Amino acid sequence: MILLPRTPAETVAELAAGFRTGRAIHLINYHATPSTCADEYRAQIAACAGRFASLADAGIDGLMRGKAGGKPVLAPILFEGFRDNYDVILPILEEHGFAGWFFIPSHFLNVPPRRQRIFAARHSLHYGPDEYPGERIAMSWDELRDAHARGHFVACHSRNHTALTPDTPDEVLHDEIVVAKQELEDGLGAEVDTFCYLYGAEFGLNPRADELLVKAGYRYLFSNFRLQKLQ
Amino acid sequence: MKIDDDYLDAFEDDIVRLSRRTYAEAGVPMYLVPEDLTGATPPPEPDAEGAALAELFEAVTRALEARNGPLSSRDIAHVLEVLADRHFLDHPFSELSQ
Repeated sequence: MILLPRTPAETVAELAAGFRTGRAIHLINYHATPSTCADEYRAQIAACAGRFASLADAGIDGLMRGKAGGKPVLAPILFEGFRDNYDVILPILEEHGFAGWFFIPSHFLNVPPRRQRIFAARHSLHYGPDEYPGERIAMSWDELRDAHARGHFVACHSRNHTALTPDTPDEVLHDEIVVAKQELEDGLGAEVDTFCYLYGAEFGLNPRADELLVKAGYRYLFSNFRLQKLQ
Repeated sequence: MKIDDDYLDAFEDDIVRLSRRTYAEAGVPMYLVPEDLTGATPPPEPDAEGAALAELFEAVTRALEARNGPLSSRDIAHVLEVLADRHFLDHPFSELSQ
């Protein structure tokens, strides 16, 4: 479900104009990263080493420019806050000099371990092979703080992994945008200025949500097709 | 840029193949476009590589629309996924998948 504020034809024209500037942003989207796929992830990241610059060297403004030092910037995105992001792919990224970007549904990390699997199932957090039977499957706050301290980026992926629609009620928007930011910053111990909805809705789809994003202090919005600088 | 039927057939085959990935565990390359809504970013210089990507993207979407009818947002995502798979590296990114 990809909802756009404009028609597909208008979106194609706008994206083409964006590509024409040479600032296309290169992402690799990951969700769960089980150890059974570690060799595959290692081969992918190794193939990108040398060809791409790391987000760590460029920062998000470098990502907005698309390139750093003449190379395109690569942003490996780690969605959902699964524990195997920290255990499996983070060391691979570091081995090859790339910073990862953790997109965290903030409440997932506060769900008791016994409830995390049912929370994941109920909130479209797709978890495959269970590599931690009887244990938590979400990252801990200690792990997220550690990753952040090691130079990786953290963004808010709503509070409960929630999609935005034009008629999402105000109280849900407040919880998923404003409370989520506070919850993530409290757990991380640092400011979070980047947001992404489930299914990647973009600015302009829901004016009430847009206003809350700006008021809450977010500066960047990731969506399916764009990285938008809001303020 | 003219997209012939053979190219479009192969492109649609890639859409089908890539859409069968296990997205929950696969690494999926993708392009995004930056958009500065503050208006503070100066206009970039023309870029030949970017122009080539834009031309290919527009040509493929035009050809798919001519063949299949109006595009959906999902169709746009599929086109970008195939372009990213083909152009991130000097070989298809998906060759590195199990």
